Amino acid sequence: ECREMDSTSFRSFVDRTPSTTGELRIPTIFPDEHVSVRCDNCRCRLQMGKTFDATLVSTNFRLLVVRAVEQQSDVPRRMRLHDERVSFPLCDIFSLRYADAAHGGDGNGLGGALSPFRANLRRSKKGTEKSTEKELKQFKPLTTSLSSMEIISCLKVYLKDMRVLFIDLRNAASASNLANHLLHFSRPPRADRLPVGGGEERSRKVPFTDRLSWEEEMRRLIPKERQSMWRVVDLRAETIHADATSYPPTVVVCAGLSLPDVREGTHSWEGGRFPVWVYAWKGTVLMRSGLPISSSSAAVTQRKFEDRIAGTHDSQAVPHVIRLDGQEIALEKIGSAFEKLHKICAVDNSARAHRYGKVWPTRVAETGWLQAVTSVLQTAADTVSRLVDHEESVLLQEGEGRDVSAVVSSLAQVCLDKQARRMDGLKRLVEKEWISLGHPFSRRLLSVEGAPFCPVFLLFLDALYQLVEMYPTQFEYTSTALVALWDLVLTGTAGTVSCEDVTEQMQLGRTSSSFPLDAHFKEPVTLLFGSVPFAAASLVTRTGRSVPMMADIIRPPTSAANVKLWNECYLRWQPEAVIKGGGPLLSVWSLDRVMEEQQEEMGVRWKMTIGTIDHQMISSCFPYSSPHDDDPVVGHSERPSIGSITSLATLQINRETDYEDYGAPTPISSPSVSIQTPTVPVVRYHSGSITVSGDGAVAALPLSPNSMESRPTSIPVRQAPPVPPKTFSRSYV
Amino acid sequence: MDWMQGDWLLRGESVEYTEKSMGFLVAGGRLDGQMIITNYRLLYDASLYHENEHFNPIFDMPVGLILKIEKVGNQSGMKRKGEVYGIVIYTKDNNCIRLSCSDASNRRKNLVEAITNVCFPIHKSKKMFAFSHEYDEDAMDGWIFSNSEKELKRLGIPSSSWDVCSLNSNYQLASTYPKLLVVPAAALQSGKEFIKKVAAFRSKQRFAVLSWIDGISEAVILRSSQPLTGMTMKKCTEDELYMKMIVDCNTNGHRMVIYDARPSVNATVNRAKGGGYEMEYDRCTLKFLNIQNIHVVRDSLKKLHDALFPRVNNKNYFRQIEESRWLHHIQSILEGVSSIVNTVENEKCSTLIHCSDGWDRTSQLTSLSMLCLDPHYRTIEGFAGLIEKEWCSFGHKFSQRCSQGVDGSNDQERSPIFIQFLDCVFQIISQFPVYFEFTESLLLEVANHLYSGRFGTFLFNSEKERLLDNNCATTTVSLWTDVMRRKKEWMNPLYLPGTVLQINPSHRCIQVWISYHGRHNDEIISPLSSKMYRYGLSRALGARTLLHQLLAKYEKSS
Repeated sequence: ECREMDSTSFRSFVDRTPSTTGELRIPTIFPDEHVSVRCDNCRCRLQMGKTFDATLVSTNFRLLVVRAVEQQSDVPRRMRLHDERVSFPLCDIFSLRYADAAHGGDGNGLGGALSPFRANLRRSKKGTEKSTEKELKQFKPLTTSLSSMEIISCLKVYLKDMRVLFIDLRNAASASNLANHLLHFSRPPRADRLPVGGGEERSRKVPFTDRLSWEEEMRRLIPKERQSMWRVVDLRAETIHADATSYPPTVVVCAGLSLPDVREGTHSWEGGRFPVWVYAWKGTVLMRSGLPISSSSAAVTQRKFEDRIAGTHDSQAVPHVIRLDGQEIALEKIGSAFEKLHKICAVDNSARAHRYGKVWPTRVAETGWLQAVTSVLQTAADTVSRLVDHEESVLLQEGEGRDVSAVVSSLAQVCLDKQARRMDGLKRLVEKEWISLGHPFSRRLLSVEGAPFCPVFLLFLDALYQLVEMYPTQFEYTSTALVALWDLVLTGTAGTVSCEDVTEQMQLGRTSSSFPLDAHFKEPVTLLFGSVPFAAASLVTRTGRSVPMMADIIRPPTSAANVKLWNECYLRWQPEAVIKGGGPLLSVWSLDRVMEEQQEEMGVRWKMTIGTIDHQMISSCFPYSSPHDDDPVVGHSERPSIGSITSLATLQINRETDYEDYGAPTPISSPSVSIQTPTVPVVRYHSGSITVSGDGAVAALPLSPNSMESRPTSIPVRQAPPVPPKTFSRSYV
Repeated sequence: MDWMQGDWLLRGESVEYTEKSMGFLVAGGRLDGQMIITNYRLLYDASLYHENEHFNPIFDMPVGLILKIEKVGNQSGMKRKGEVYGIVIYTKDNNCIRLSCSDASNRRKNLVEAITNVCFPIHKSKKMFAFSHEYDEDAMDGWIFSNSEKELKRLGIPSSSWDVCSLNSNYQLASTYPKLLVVPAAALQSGKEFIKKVAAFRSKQRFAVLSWIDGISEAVILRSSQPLTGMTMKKCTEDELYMKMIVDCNTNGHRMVIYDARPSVNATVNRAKGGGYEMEYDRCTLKFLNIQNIHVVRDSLKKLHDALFPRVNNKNYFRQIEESRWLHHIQSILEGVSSIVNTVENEKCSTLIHCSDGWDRTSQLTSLSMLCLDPHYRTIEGFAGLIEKEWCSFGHKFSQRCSQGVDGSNDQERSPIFIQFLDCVFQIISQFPVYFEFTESLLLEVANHLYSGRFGTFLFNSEKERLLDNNCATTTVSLWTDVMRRKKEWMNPLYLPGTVLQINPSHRCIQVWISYHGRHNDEIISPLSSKMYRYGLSRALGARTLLHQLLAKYEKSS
């Protein structure tokens, strides 16, 4: 039944009784989950979709949108745990903006702040230019909780995955309650307030925290005769761990270093992060550490470490140090780059989207995000070149050695290690470089303690996407899988990627893994995780009648010209970025088809990944959103640059007002432009499906007995929410 | 040294000059070698001092690509300060090659003279290389694509409402137009004088004729030049009647949309020069598409190339790209194409497209719209026919735009309009890769031969000059002869015929065509870059190798 087409199997959570009280039964999916706020009579809109009536229900972990009228969705549900199309984890909230009562009460239905676009239309009629700006300024950022006296009319929920949920609360009773609740719970005080999902392997061991897995990794990577130069140190057993808590209990260091040396090491590098071994390529090694502390005693220890590391090298050369404290990749810079990127990608107003579209290259350049991606790729290229071409060992140094060094080190390994380009290799890589070596996921991504959002992990995924895009035949996974991984991390439910470090993970028992991804996602989306070009290239190579296509080492780009915006991740909800009837999925499908046709000539057996697809419904944003026909992509009908000749006289005026203010370019009002009323119906992109066909279809993982979802127990809605603290004023990026 | 054997020479190619002691200046040093100049190309061979190495040209470029040659340094400067003494070669695609020469007397002078002779043969009233080049007799002759009769038959013309007009059979009506013109049958019935009057009202007599017709809806794409309304807003009853006839040909649409590719300001300015735009035509709607002219495009591409070559400044790259405005120009064309496709496909209305003279922006818009509307043009043969029809026969001034055979470094008529067209095709291919029978590699090949001067396809300014005055069809080889012969190299094994492509003209879906614009920069990774070749990674990049392998298997089986 897991092969069943999913888009039709959408059911809302409503278990409706005909009475007007409208009792909702919300199935809880997390332990300790309880319904806290309920808001009836809301009107909602996701991005630029249709506005619909709904009841909002928020638990302590997520916000649920329950439609008043059930509607079939055009896109398949992706996540196993919850229906991400109508259920939003609270830790996924990037920011909240609200409009207060003074502006919302326009009186006539959907007026005021609800639709700046409509407001703009009115403006052009009345000629009151200032009103739009005023109307939009009324969306104030919500950073401290509101008093119960305040009445808010509208709320905008910006999610970290670039979605925007617009809620009109004018007819709702507990509006400020909802706002306060969302604000409070979107910034959990500790990681243990995050939901626990995918409960199956709760007591699982965390990899790379024990002697065994490090030894295995050393055996895999270090040539036999050199293995004795490195050894695993059990920091906990030697009571060194207290000074280096962000490290896992076991790390690999130079065999030449004594335990007292290692103990000294914790005081000689920032965060107690002395250089540890992470990877070996032939005779050279890749290491990570924090920045060295400058003091005379520390210098001695640092020297000692350096000498011992040099000793493992044939040439006795000291390792090449790459310091990752450059401008583009400073943590604050990454955070602010993402914030700017978020501003231009998370847009719920087609006029504004169109306005950004006109100056898109400038806007993207201004964010600095692509520059950061270029920078880490360039550093990774440098690392690869040092290890391979110069035969030097490399030591990556950075602040506390928990962020950008993880990005660069992972990228270098993806380039050097064929295994890391496989699905299980990616798992291993994330476990080693990110989870075990202590990337603070909870602080960077899940706003624990209200810490500013700083998506270092996304920077890694983005850079990895650039490589996948460049070398599609070399990666077993696709960029869709990377998007899925990102979405999963943002839910906060995957234990290992939701903690400060391994120590906290073990204390809280949050050890459920984010891998395999198939266990967290449903078909048809999981079908898109495996790369068809990779499968085809390895199969064709294996026939022996072809030139070899698989490379051992791949080189990352060093030039910004090779870096492009990851549309699949950032613009997947934006109708303006959709290529209807096109996009990469169609090529993948076509390759799948050609392989199927030719398998006999090649003497191989090809297993179709994607069976048949509905050409009409395929678009470049396929598993995420569907192109809305009711809100057409601006391009044909709303075209401020093209005026009819009769409007030539007014062109001057329009130009001044259109581009500078917040609102829409005045939609063409000239009657001669009747392009908006096609005489022949336009082809509609109706919903369809990806279905699996043939016996050889990739076997989906058997549905783990995920009893939680279908747990019959449901709890009645409690109307009394916990009162949020009134003095909540932490800064929120 | 096997270059001596000359097996790399094309038929008709001969070595004109060699210069043994040269230095190719690269970042951080120079590569000694020799320069070989033939009537077709410049070759630089660095294997001079490595007897057992294979013939390994550092660069090998058609002389047609050379924009200008400059001498740098003088003999005294070289002796005193060690300055470079040599030449700099600038190419039309903004590459810049620096070479040092021997300082022996007259060596440099002779070298420059030899290069100039082969580069700019027109100055010496000699013929281009294309006239000496020959091809295998048994190869399919690519000139058949310039014959539009077959294409008209495919479109179902003559039909009840459209007919072929023979008034231009000797190019006497409009010298820059093709021989065969398709006009409404009703116009033919109104007589020769009527059509002559219609033509007289348009700049260069380039009146509205049919480019494409939708077989089902009968909506058409027409092209013309601007009407000569002038400052006084002159009217021409014949032209208005002619437009009415065109609208009547389409039983589905009750009106026609006239797309003026220019910004409305430029159109107004043109009135002062006697040009203008259609005012108040019955049942016609006029729209401006805001596409900039050849001068803006030329400067824009120069800026784009400056951002990509000689090296990319990672910090400022994205800002520089933005400042070049190249992507904005591409976007405005695609946006125009998207609305034309929408008008023809969804509203079933006929469209007339023009700019000032109707041979630059108009050709871009008509050919790209047809590429989206008709799957035929997305096959290799169809694409060749499309370029022959919309570009070559309708008089895109290739000779001037590419300054063929003359030193045109200061020529204001030079402009990369055709490159811009290919860039737009690349954008459409990257949105819908499976709906093209060919891949990007064909575009790169066509772009190369735009300047190479090896084939006759892109010589001269119009069909008349090409086929009548210079008999290119019999004296030169067509580019398509070579393209069809090497068809396998361009084939896309994932090809599906498809239907109408609804492109997304948003900036969000437009990217820099780095495999063309960035190909002289070694740091930029593309399947053909020499850096990737050195790393042995050419095969791992993209899916090119995989597709070729599939194609080989495919051919064997079928």
